Amino acid sequence: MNGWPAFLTASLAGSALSLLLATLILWRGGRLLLNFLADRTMNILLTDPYRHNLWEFISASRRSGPQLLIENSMRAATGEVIKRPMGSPKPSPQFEAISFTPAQVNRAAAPGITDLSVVIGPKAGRPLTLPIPIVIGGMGYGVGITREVWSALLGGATAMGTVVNTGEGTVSLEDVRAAGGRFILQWGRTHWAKQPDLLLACSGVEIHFGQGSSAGMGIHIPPEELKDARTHMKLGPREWGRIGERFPGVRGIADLGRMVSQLREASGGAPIGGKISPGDDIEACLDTLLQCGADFITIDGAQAGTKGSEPIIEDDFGLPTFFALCRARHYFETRRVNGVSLIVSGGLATPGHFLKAIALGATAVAIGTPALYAVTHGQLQRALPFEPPTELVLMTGRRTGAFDPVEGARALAMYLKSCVDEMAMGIRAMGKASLKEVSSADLFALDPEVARVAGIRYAGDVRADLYRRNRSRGRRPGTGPQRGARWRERS
Amino acid sequence: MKKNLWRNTVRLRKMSTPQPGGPPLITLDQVAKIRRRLPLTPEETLYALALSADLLERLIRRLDRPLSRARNNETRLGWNRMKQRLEAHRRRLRRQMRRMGEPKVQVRPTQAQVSETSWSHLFALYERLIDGTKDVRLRAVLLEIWGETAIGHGWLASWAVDVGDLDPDLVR
Repeated sequence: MNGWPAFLTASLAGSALSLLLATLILWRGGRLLLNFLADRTMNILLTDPYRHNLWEFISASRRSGPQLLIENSMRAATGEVIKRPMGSPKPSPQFEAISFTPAQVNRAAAPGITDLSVVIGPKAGRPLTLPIPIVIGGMGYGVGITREVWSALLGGATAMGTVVNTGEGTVSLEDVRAAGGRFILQWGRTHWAKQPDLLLACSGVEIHFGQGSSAGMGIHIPPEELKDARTHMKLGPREWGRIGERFPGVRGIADLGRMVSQLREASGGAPIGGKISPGDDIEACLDTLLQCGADFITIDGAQAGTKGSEPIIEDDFGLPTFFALCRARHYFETRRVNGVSLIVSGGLATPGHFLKAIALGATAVAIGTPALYAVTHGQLQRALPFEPPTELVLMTGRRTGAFDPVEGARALAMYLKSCVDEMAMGIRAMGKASLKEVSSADLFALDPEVARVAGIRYAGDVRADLYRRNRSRGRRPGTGPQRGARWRERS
Repeated sequence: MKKNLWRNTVRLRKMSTPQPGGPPLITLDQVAKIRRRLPLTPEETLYALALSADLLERLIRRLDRPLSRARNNETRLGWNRMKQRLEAHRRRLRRQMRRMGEPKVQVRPTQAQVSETSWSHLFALYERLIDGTKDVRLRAVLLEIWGETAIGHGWLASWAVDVGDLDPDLVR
């Protein structure tokens, strides 16, 4: 028995000595080991033929891109149509190729506070007045995001005085009233969110014809994805959520016009609008909506995001936001359309994009993906690094319980405040005091094609109309600057 | 009877208002708190300061008359202290404006010049003044002036929501 303490001490000392020895070996020999491995790897990469070389994978992935590589693997693994969240990754450089003209010599930058207020549906019985030109786009509780995230969007939007769109999801008036918020009710091809009191309480109704990332497609949502929203949507435990392709009973313009009138009556004069996914027939869509008496039109360009849509719809369908907006503005101008507001969304991510869209003819912009990024600010670590951030916000997510709606609302309000302050700075830098003064005349394009489509000036064209060509006009003969060969010599 | 395009397609059981899955996740108080903590730009701060100083000046002027008519010394002394406190506060506001390089901001800014965020901070400042006033008549005068301003700017509806503290550190 007396030998145990000595044995334990000797064991501990032996272990410590072994550890020390291993550390010393690694300390001294680690570099050598790493050097050997690196040399061997480089040797293989640099000398092996392509058919045996790992570099082939990198070369192939550069050709098709990692996006295609991974999506093709997903297709091969499941055999199902894949649903990609957050929209198409295709770049849309048109907004980047536009700039504003700053005020400095001939007019100064404007001081003070900038008026950013806008009115949606000015001819409606109760037009929607917003202190900022940004609304939160349609993201539906139940069909896309969780109630926590929708509440965060509502809270953040309300703190900044703007509205949140219900998307194709369901909405509880108690939630809206508790936050003192306002909302645009999206009138979808669904059987939920159709209650008369919702219509009376909403600040606007947006008839959902399509959206940039999923066009006009309907969807089937399995019960397990609906979770707690299922009872809220009045669905049975095994009932699927169904968003149709057509509005029941609507077969033509006359039916559509009747639906708009009925919605206007039922909502007590709220602005009624339509949301479309623009294509090459955008003028025809606008024409139909105007014939039906729409107070506003939402154009959701092809770069728009969603909770998950088919890559073919995201990548290969629809008109990009820039082209859709320019064509809509051109249509409004040629048809002399007044009093109909234009809300634009899809791929607009920065305050500069928002201001450019408004200068190009939009009344306001709607944001979806940037708002989702904003509400998850400071909470991403609750999903990362083992899950993507969408796991926090989407109904299908595994980490939805970790999302804090109050923190999300605060982050969204901060994001919106920062964006509108930056927009105000931009307007002041143009020497203007109000958003209403900003127009396409303040823009110029760095690309001739963009300039042609937008109907704005090209940066390379000389503005001869802005300066006096002959500065000697009005002077006595012979007193003006010398011209001709002698003048060139003096120069 | 007029054909109703959506009622025909929706069963009656679906027309009743759905009940929420639990208590509301965001309340008015939380929204008001978020709004109070939003940062002000220097321009917004200046207009908020100018409007506060203007409100205080109007209040001080209006205090003179009841002050001279106060029956007993105690009331007069109390009101005098209040007036001194308000004057000191006004001086502080003016000093802050001078420090920011804009001592003469228009004292009656238009509605567009006072942003939502400025208003929420301003409401908070004024509410603190009203809360700190024990005298019923003085509170009435304060509320009256505040009400006039809020109605004048079309912001009375927001008053109930926006309460909190003006934090000078929020000036960016």
